[in-house]
Amino acid sequence: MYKCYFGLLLCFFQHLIIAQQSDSLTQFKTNNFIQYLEDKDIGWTTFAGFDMAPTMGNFQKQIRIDIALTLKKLSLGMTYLSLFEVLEQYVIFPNIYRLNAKHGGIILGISIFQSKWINGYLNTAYHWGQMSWEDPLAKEHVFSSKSECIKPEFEIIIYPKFGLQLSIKVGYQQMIELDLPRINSADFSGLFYSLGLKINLSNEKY
Amino acid sequence: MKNINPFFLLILMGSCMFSNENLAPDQQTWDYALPNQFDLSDKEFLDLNEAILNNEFKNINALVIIKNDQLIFENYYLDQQREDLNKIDNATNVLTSIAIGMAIDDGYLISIETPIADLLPEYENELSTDSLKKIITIEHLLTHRSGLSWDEIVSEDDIKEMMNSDDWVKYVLGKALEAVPGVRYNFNSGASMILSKIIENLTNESLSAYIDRRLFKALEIKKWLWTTDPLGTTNAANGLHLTQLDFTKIGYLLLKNGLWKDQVILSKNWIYESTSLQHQPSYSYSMGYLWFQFTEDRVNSPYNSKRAFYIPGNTGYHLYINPEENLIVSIGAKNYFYGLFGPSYWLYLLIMDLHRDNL
Repeated sequence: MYKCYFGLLLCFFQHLIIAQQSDSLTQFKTNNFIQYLEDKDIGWTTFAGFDMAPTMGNFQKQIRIDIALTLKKLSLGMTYLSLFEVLEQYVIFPNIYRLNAKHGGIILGISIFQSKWINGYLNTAYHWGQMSWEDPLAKEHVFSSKSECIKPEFEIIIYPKFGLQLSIKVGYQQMIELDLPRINSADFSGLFYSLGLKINLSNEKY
Repeated sequence: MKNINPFFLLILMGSCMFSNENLAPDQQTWDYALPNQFDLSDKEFLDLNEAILNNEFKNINALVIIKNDQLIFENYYLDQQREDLNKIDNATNVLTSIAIGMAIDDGYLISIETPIADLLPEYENELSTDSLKKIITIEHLLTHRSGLSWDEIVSEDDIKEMMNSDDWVKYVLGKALEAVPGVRYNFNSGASMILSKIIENLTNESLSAYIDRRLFKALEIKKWLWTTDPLGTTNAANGLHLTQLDFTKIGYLLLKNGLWKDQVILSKNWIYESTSLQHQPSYSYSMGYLWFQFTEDRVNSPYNSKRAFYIPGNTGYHLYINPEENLIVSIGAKNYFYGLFGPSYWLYLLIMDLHRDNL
């Protein structure tokens, strides 16, 4: 099902690309479309950075990318996370396997305060995907499990008047439905923080 | 900002798309644990692994250890893979012991003291060559004391000739009596062919079909291969092929007194009886019903848990069950020159050494 969400969002952005890359004959239409989005207070944001998330008793770095449409104070988009740091341990002793984690999902947000230099948002992400123990030599998944995660967070945007902004997030993630040997949902649940850059296009006023 | 082309972002997102393929979950009979969770030393087991890799124990190709219901060691060597089927050789014999227990549980058989002549009318001729053959019982076959002439340990001539004949059961039953049944021990894998035929006559299905229905399905053993003789009688002498983990499951069922996922597969009484000492033919081992036990011999005494039992396959497929330590050691090997007590046996002794050193 999540692939449908991704598909719809990608179609929308594809439409934007086509509009922006159109030749002069259609430039007028493109300008009209952008103007239309501005008039309706529709914009979009992207975030790229790292989550420092609880992973088996430590904080481990995860690559995180969010892309969202915004409407006034609200935003709706998709999020993607992937474990960045190599995490290996004995699973089937004496064999060592590498943990692989990839999640995608949706993220909902609302702007809760704005000031000259700082904006604040409350977001909630729900993502799902696959975690697996991988044989580092054979590059094969030895064990694999679906997993889901709910992730409420508080986000602060610094220097909001620029398109490129610094984003700091703090939140809590709760992993569910993880079924892998030697690890469980509790190993990936807890407080996390996040640091990255955000691009805010078309509706800077929110 | 309006003119920033978002194409690069889409490429970025596209590269992040992933497939949420659901790989078939591994059949997880046991949780995984490390030796150190049971006061054993990880390092010592890593050293052991290294020794096997260096072929210090000859031709070991699999080692699985279950401790306190958790899998603490599983590794494969010499190009062996987890899913590979291996011929467990004469370790196949114990499946007939289990099948006899199930036949009693199911009401097909009343007692192991039943003479085999009563159950094999089609072999009347072979059983008539000596009047004493008619007093051979199932129990005699289960304890390698049928009295039938048989050479398997020294020359393997009989097992080879049996396998070259058209009717293996006929070949075994046609052998002359060299001792009164029930008195003299003589290791005889061929006797399991007789038990295989008895199960077939009692249940109207082959031993392999019976074991599949009653045991393999319950234990979720899906991948197996069992050869037959030319007449289609299941080869209980040495014909079963299993993966190492499935071989281990059979030991685990016995360790758990026949209970598998809250279902009774084999009666506790039969397991106790069949794995208890019935007679001691050697200074180094005693026998149950086709299961071996350690004796109180000086050399073996450190390993002589009172209730431990095992089956040593000729080529090295050994299964050790130690209820007192809640331990199963399952070993696969391909050794053709060591007989029953070769490198797989030594490996078990070393594992018990590691076990006891850390207690």
